[in-house]
Amino acid sequence: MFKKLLIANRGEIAVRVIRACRDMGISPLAVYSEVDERALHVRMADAAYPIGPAAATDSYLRIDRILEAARRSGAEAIHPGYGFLAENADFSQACRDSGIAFVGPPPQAMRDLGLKTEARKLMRAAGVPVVPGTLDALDSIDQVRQAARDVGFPEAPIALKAVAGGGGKGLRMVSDPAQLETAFRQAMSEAGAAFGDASVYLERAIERPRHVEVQILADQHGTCVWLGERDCSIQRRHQKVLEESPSPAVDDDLRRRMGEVAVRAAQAAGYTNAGTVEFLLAPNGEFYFLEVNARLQVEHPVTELVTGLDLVREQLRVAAGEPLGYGQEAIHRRGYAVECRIYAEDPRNGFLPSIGTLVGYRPPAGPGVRVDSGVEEQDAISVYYDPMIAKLIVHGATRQEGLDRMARALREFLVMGVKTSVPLHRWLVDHPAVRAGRVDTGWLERTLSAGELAAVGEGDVEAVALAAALLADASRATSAVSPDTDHVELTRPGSAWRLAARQASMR
Amino acid sequence: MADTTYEVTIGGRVVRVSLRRAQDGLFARIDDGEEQPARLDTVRGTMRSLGIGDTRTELLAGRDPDGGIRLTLHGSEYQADVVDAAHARLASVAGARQSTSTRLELKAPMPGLVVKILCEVGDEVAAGTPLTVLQAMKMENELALPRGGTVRSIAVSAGQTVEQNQILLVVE
Repeated sequence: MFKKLLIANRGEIAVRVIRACRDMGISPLAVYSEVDERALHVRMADAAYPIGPAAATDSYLRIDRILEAARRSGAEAIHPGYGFLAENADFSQACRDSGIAFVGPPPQAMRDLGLKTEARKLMRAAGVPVVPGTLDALDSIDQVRQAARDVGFPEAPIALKAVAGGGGKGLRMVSDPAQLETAFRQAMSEAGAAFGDASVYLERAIERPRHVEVQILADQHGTCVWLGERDCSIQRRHQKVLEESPSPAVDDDLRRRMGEVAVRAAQAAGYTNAGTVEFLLAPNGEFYFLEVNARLQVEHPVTELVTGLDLVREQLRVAAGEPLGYGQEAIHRRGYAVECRIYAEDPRNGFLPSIGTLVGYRPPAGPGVRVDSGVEEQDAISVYYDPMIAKLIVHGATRQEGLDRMARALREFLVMGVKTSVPLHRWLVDHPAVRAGRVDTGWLERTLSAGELAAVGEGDVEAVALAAALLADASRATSAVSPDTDHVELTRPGSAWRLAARQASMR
Repeated sequence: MADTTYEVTIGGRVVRVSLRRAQDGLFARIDDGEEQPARLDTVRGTMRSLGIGDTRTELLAGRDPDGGIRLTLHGSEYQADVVDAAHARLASVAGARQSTSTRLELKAPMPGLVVKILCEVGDEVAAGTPLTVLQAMKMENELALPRGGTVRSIAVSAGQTVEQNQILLVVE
């Protein structure tokens, strides 16, 4: 096993990997940008190396500086986390060329899976079901029209997708033939801007699908196992908001079939290490290959809580060349797990990102509750990086127990200084459609309204008003005794209540 | 100190809180409800314990740089403006500037680039109407205010970069 591991990331995932290193007796090493000098992941590591200014393109995306840090530190391996360089085949290759183990799949598998048309060809050849559509990029509107007709357009809607794509960029759904040409142009220009590759291909649009993905684990000796599914159907703008396992829409037979297909997909691509095979699950129970996420995913703890495996530990063992040492029959799933991604954004105000200092931060704890976070009280949420504050993951014996427990944990989660998505999650876990498991990938955007969210915590307003009045009153009592003592934190003269207090004290 | 009534504005809703100081502690009446014993203890930092009648609840509370009070209860954050009702009435009788709560400043929630101004001075705007578009964190964000009014002044123009908390426009 490695003695030293460099983590080419920041925030909660860097902290997560550091903890696995400690469990395994590996020395964890961090990198950091100028604004992260005192960040939690830097403090927890055995050593930390500066790699440049705040902007990610000047630091966490700088392959040269990260490899230089690895050389200086004597690290034998690099864990890329997720995001940043995690799915960059050039980075994976550069690590290899420097004699450093990359904790992830081999560069060729990454390249093949990174292009959606290549991935679709690979999967079709391996007998993995793909959504009907083109296997190559489309060059002209005539080709688009023909390909659309071939999959039943306009009776069935189609989707234009970026070949190099992901995250909904360069994606256009079309049901009206008059909009086909415009949509094609828009998809190309968006894909070009986002990925530097304007190529677009076409698929039949699956209506009201669920997003169900299968976690796999493959060693370098030919063993590949599937660890069960995660249902990530609750999404907003193609970003996952809540992830759960098992899926309320998957029974044992479907789970086994999806798992076996996922293993076949991974093996077709020559995949090793931890990966996720994403599927669209149609309302009729048919499922289709969507893509492979060639990295550890944000929502991996959901699978960890259900299987009892430490996925980062397994990643490091695989990267070090160890065999998994167990087969499919050793994988057992127990109970139910669900994750909420707590973002610094205001769900009541158009999901506006919220930045600032966490003047108050008290995460939940207790039975079945796990919080993966890269911040603590007084830390800042900046404009430079992903505004995720924490991942809240809970485990329960059943889905109902898990969702009840999540409601409890969300109630306990107190953050002050930035707005958070907690009110959205509180609304979600109590929603009848979520409780009934009747959602699809478009459900949240169709259902979410300002009025629904405004009702969350409405019953608390009187208590909040009382607390605010008591706080103002206490400060006023203090300033009457000694008007110049400004002992309450964050106070600035000139506010309404302070002026009132000053005048009252002089009456 | 004499009894005091506060008007607490939270997200467009106004709650009247009357406080009475007695030998055996503080008593509060919320709107037209029953009077109940009330207390707010500071545990440490922003962590407080609120007692109403026989019930207790924990919450975070502290002061905002711009004078309001910020509170977090049961996972949700609230912003509260507190004014002394008697003082607000006196000020308005004296013809002084009306209660500061009618003046609303739209501030940049983060550093960014003003892409568009969606209103003009003199416009009547409703609560939640997008007033400007601010590009920040790789996204275009429409900015609105929790209450409506008349646009009094616009301090920035399209194409301008702004700092966090910079005033963009004022609605009264």
